[in-house]
This record gives sequence, structure tokens and C-alpha cells, in this order.
Amino acid sequence: MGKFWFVILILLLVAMFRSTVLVEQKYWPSDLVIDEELKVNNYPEFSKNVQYFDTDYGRLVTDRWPKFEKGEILLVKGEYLVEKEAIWFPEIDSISKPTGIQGFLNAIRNSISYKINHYFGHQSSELILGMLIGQNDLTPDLSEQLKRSGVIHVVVVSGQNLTMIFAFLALWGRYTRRKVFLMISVMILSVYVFLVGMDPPVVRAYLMILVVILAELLGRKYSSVQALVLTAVVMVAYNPLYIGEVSFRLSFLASLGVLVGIKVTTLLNMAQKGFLKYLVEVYITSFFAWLMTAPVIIISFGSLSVVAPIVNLAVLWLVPIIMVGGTIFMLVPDFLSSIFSYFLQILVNGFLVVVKEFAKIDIDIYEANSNISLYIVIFSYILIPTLIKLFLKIK
Amino acid sequence: MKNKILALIFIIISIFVFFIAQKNNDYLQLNICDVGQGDGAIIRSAGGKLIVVDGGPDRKILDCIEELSVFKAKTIDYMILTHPHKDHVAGLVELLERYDVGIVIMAYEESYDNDEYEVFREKLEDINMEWVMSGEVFEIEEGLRLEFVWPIYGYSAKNVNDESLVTRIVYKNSCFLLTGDAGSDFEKYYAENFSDCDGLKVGHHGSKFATSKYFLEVVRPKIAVISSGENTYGHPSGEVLSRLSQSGANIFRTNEGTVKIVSSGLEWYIADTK
Repeated sequence: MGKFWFVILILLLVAMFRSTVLVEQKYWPSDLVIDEELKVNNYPEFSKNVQYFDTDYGRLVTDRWPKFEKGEILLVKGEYLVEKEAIWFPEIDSISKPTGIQGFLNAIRNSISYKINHYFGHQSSELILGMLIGQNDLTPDLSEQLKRSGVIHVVVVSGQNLTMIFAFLALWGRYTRRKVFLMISVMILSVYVFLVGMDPPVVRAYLMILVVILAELLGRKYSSVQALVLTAVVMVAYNPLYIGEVSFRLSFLASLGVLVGIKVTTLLNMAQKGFLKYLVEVYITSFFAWLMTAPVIIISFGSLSVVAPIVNLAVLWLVPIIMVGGTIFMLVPDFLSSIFSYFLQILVNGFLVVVKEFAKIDIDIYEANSNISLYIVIFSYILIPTLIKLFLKIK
Repeated sequence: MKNKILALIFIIISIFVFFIAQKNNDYLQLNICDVGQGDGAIIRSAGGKLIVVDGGPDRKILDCIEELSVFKAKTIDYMILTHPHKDHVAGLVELLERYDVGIVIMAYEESYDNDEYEVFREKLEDINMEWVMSGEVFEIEEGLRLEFVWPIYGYSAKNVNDESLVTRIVYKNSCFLLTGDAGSDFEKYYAENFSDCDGLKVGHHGSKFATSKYFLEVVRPKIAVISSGENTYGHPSGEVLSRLSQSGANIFRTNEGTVKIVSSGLEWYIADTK
């Protein structure tokens, strides 16, 4: 057994030990009357006319308006309902808004949201803001269409989008000087992590990617895949509960998929040149990231659209381009914003047209809640070993 | 070289399309929007001005307003709130998040215990406000004016529905009456003081307490639009549907989709109902 695998084994043993200490379930055994000051622990999410966020007492569900902010202190009077697993439509009074770094972050997110909302139609802006800052505020129609066509995962903060940016940058990095690539990649990724709010899932994905970038930069001596595996295992050793988190699995698998994708594009040694080659590479890399995460997406999001592979194939390559385009749009001065938004709108419309057309297809989406195991297991057990074999062959 | 020429052609076509899309029409468009159980109407004038009257109970109004132009407009020139109930005001809050608003017009000045209305009022801090009553007129552009016909000065009702701001959209020789949720007091006043109007947004989602026979005899609408969705109130009522049929009006309902109406200045006609 090589040194690498020995280290992994030790770390896994540590994880097993720590899991016995850390396993805890936070729930309330019976309905509970609450009359307390509570802090909003994450960026509120929205579904139809409802707003929900986490507090120290668990999830709180309330009306869409007024919208609350992460870090805001609220006086909450109401009940935690076991049946709903949430503090259910309590009376809320805002005590204080966040200041300092969280206040600053909220202000930046609000200004991004304001500008995107002003220049784009509501569905486009929901999509861009989902990709760009992980804002979950989809109208029911769009949410349903994204689910039916199997691309809802592009607007969920999980670290997967961070991996998409990484894929985009890594491909570009091959054509530029390593130091420049490192600096720009770290800068762009840091800005993204900053914007989506430095939530644990995103920070974890960020760390994984930084390690991979570092391994790539240090040359052949270090395997990117080994670096990724090592980082993931260190994280699991630190907190074994991570392994149960969807975002952790997605970050890891998407990063692995990107690495496989990059190797595949290198191996193909395509004849195309210039922008076309670049597009094909982004396309292939994004596709492998999706392929690796597909089983987890099926289990976690409860369903799989039968058209999902086709739609992902058709639109996934647009995601990093829209994300980078959206970031540039935020930076251009107002007098250029209209023209820039026009070009960005074309990309977003392309994405939406494909999603909507495929969502119309009258085939039941596969609901993963009943008898999932057979299909999932078959899918996963064919897919993942094949990919790993492919990877080992080309390494 | 070939790529550069293609890129140039693409840019020229894009700019051409961009400017074509900005071109104004020579007619007025009125969308009575499918907002579910609520009210929301949008007017796009011949000169390209956007006027919104109520916003419905949620975000559905956004689809309706975006249908009116190829690229998203950035400004709503006039925003009118008939009264502060959620099924009229919530969508306006969504619009205030996404558009600059020139002037907000209201009749109802008092506070009202409704989360959406409170947020709406908070968002109006830096926006021009106009409080209007019956008799006031806004000239929007040549040929187009908004006439406010209700409530009258000093009027007070137990139910804010009855205090709804009622607007007559007058475009050259055509007229459309947007009644909010106003009831019998308004209808009596209108019948005594005003004349016919070709188009009518039926009062209070088709409730049996509005759209009386004597009111219809004065208004004599050719087009009557009922704005209602799934509800437990029995809207629209059978009595109202029957009265409207007897009056000779063509009835359209938003629960079957947004009712799109246009006017060249002579009369209103239905452009689409989906």
C-alpha cells in the first residue's frame, strides 16, 4: 500500500471515531412555544409566497414579505410545529439589521440583485441570480420547468457552480502562464465565495478546488485526483457528518468530474481551433461534472427528468459562460450595461428556450421517492466505475 | 477574416433588432392580466409609456408586463393602487423591486394592517406620490388621459373595497373603466354623474354586490373583463354573468388567460386571450 492510501486509511479511522462523538440530531420532540430573539442564520429562500430560513431553533417559515436578511435579529413569537418541522408563520418583529462584514455582504448582494432585476426579465434574472449568488427565489413555473428538464441543480448553491467556474478557468489556464492563471483563478473563485455568502458548503468546495489548482500548478509530481481525495477525506475526518451532506457530495463528485473531463479533452487532442475548440472543451468538462453528480442529484432532488441527459448536454456549457458574463455585467459602468445585458440575454434566452421546450415534453419525470434503490444503484454502478476506469486508462 | 466578417454581421443584425424592438406602436395596449384571484392591469401607450393599475396577489404580474415589450422595460411611468388589499398590492411590491417608478397614484392614505401594503409604503420613500380623488385628470400624452372618478372627497366606508380608486382610461374616442373592488356606492355615483364607456373591468372580481343593472345601463360596455382565479367566494357570481349577458357585453375572463385588448382610438378590440 502506497503512502497516499495509508494516510487516507488513517484519516478514515479518525473519521469513524469522531462520528460517534459528533452524531447528533437536532429536532424538537413536541410542539414548542417560542418567544425569543433569534438570528437569521442563512440567506432566506423563497417558494411561491413563502419565505424560509434557519434559526437556532430550526427552520422558520413565514410570508414572502417583508424579506429578512442573513444576520438579522428578530423577535419571534409563535410555535415550533413538529408536524411541519419548523417555526410556522410566527409573529416577527425586526430588532436589528446586521452590520460589519455580514451587513457589507448583504449590501453587495442587494446591489447585484437590484441591477440584474432591473436589466433582465424576471425569469432571466431568477436564473442569473441563482447561478451567480445562489439566490433561491424562483417562480413556481420556472422551478417546475427546471425540475422537469433536469437542470434545477444549476441554481442551487452547492459548490457545484464553483466547480463549473473552475472548469472554465482550468481550460483557459492551459493556454496561459501558470502564475497568471493561479492569481486570476483564486481571485475569481474568492469573489464568488464571497458573494454566495461563505456558507460551509461553498467554502468546502472552494478549498477542494484550491488544492486541485495547486496540485495542477505544482506539476506532474502531484496528482490532482489524489489531492482532491485527500482534501475530501481530511474534511470528513474533521467532521464525519459532512459525508451525509448533499452539497459535500456534489462538490467532490463535480470536482472529480471536471478532472476527468479535462483529461478527456487532453486525450482527444481535437482538430478544431480557437473559440470552437474552447467551446467543445467547456462542453465536455461540464458534461463530465454533471455525469458524476447525476446519481446524487437523483437521490437528493427527488426526481430525474428522462430528458435530463439531453438538456444537460445542450445547456450546461452555458452555465460558466453566463456566470462569468454576469460577473462582468456587474462590473461594467451603467452606460454600457444595456448593450452588455443584450448579449447576456441571448445566452440566457438560449438556456431558457431549451429548458422550456424540453419541460413541455409530456413524459412523467421519474420520481425517486419510491423504489429508488434499484434504478439508482444500476445507474451509479455502471457510470462511476466506467468513468474511473476511463480515468485510470488515460492518466 | 471570414470569422471577423461573420462577427460584424452578427453585431449589425443585433443592433438592428435592438432598435426595431424599441419602436413604438400607433395603438394603445391594455392587458388585464391573469394574476389568479386578484386584479392587475397594464397599459402600454402608443408613445411607449407604461401604466400599471394594481399588481395582483403575487409575481404573475411580471409575466404580464414583460409580454408587452421585447426587452425588459426599466421604468413604469405610472403605478396606480386602487386599495391596499393583498390581492391588489402584492404584485406592485414585486414590480417596485424590479422597475423604476415615475409616479405612484393612490386614493387611500391611511395605514392598513397588511404586510404587503406596509412593505409597499416603505418602498415609496423616494418615489413621487399623488393622492387623488374623483374629478382629477392626468394627461399622459397626446390623446391619452386618466380620469379618476371615485372616491369622492370625504367618502368613507367600513370596507376599503368601497374606497377603491376607480379610473377611466380615455384614449381619443375610446374609454375603459377600471373599477377595482368598488361596490354599489360608486356605481350609484357613476350612474348619476358619468356616461357610457366601451370597456369595463368588472367590479370586485364579479362579486354579486357589484355590477348592478342600473350601472350597466349607463356604462353599456361592449367588452367586460372579469378578473378572478380560483376562489372560495363564488367569484364571478352567476347573477353578474347573467346581468352582463343581458346588457349585451362580450364577457372575457382572466382565469382563462390574460385578456389582451387594443385600441386605435375609436374602439377596443380583443387581441388575444392567453
